[in-house]
Amino acid sequence: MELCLPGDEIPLNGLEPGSGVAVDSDSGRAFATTAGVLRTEDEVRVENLRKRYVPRQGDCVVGIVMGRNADFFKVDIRAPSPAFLPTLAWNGATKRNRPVLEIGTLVYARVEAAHPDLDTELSCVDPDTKKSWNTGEVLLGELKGGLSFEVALSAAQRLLDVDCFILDRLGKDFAYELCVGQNGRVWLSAPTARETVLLLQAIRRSFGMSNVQIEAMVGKMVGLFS
Amino acid sequence: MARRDGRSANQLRPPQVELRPLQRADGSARFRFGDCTVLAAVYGPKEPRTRHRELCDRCTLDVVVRPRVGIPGPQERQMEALLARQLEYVVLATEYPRTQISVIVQMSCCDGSTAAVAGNAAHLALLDAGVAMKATAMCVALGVKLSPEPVIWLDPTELEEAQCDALISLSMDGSRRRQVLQGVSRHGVFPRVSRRGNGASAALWDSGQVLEAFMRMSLQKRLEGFLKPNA
Repeated sequence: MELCLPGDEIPLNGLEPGSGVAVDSDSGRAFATTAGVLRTEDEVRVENLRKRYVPRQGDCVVGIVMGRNADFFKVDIRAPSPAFLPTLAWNGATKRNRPVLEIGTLVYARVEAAHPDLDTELSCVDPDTKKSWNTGEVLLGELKGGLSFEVALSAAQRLLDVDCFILDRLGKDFAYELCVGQNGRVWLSAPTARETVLLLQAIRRSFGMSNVQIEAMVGKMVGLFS
Repeated sequence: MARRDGRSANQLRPPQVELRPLQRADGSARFRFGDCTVLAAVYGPKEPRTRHRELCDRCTLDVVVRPRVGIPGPQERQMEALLARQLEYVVLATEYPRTQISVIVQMSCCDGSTAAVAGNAAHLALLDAGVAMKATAMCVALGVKLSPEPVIWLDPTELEEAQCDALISLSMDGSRRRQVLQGVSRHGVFPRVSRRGNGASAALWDSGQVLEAFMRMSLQKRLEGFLKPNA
C-alpha cells in the first residue's frame, strides 16, 4: 500500500492523472495533491477518507432538497455549493404533470453539468426507460421512506462495486432497499425501523474489515436479531 | 547551556497526532509537541458566508484562532495572519473558485512554540479534509538566546521562551529542503541567525524530515484499516 503526501512525485507510466493528482505545468511532472493511498488501476488517483464531494458529470448522487422556486429545486449534494434540479427534468414531466418535492425530501439524480465556475445542474431523466415518473419504476427520482446517512467518498465507491461483500452478505438474511450516491450519501430502507438501524450500523462498521470479519459480525447480528 | 528537560539544543519534543477527533468537521487534527496541544478543524470548501468575500478564481482561506481562555486579542490576530500566509502558500486555491475554506484553531494547552504547533495542526486538518495542496509543510519553532552566549534552541517550552530574546516560527518542506515561509512570532531583537546558525539550519532540515516521516507513519496507521483491498 503506497502512501503519498501532497507534493510527492508520482510516475505516471502512461496512465492518465485522476483525482488527487496534478501535473505541474512548468516541468510536466505529476505530483500528489492530497494525502492518501495511491491507486493505479486505469488512472492514477489518490484515495483517502475525504467527505466533501466535488461534482463530476455523469455521477449519480443522492441529494436533499433545500429550497424550490417555480423553475427548479435547490439540492444539497455535499458539494461546495448547492446544485439545481429543474422541475421539468423528469421522464414524461409537463407543466401540469410534474413532481412537487417538499423541502427535506431525498432525491436520486444524475449530474448533468458540473464545472467549478458554474452552478451544478442535476437531472432525473432516465434515458433508458420510456416510463413516466409517476409510475414508480424509474430509478432516478424521489426516495420515499427509509433513512439516509453519510459516509466517506471512497467508502461509497466500495459500496458501489459490483461484488460488494457486505451488501451481498446482508442480502442473504435481510430484505432491504439501498441507494448509494457517489457523493457519499446513502439511503436505506427496510421493513421495520429496528432492522433499518441494524443494517445501518452493520454497513458503517464494515469499512476497514476483511471479509472474514464481516462474516463473523453479520453472523452475530443475525443470531441476536432473530 | 543545558535545557531544563535535558534535551540538546537541536532536539524536538516527541510529537503526537490524532486525526479526525471531530466527526462533523470536514477535516480535523490534534497535534502536540510534548505538552503543547492544539486542535484544528477545517470546514470546506463550502459557500462563502457573504457574497463580497467570494473570489472569482480561487477560494478564500479564513483562519480563526481561539485562545485557551478569554476573548481573542491581538496575539490571536497575529497568529491568524501568520497561519493564513503559511496555508495560502501550500493550498491550491485555484482548484476551488468561489468557495471558502474555514480553518478554526483552538489552543488546548500552551507550553511554548504555540505558533508552530498551531501551524502543524492546521496543516494536518487540511490533509484530513482532502483539500488540494502542493507541498507538505511542517512547522518548527526556534528560540534565540543571546546571553550569556548565543545559542539557538529548537522547539522551546514556555519557560525557555521567557528566557529567549527572539522567537521564530518556520514552515518548511522537509523532503525538498525548501523553506516555505518564515514568520517571526514575537517582537524582539532579531539577530542575524544565518551566520551563527550552521548547525541549527542542518538540525532544522533534519527536524522537518523527522516530522514528515512521523506524519507518514500516522497517516499509514489511520488509512490502512480503511483502505486496504478486501482480502
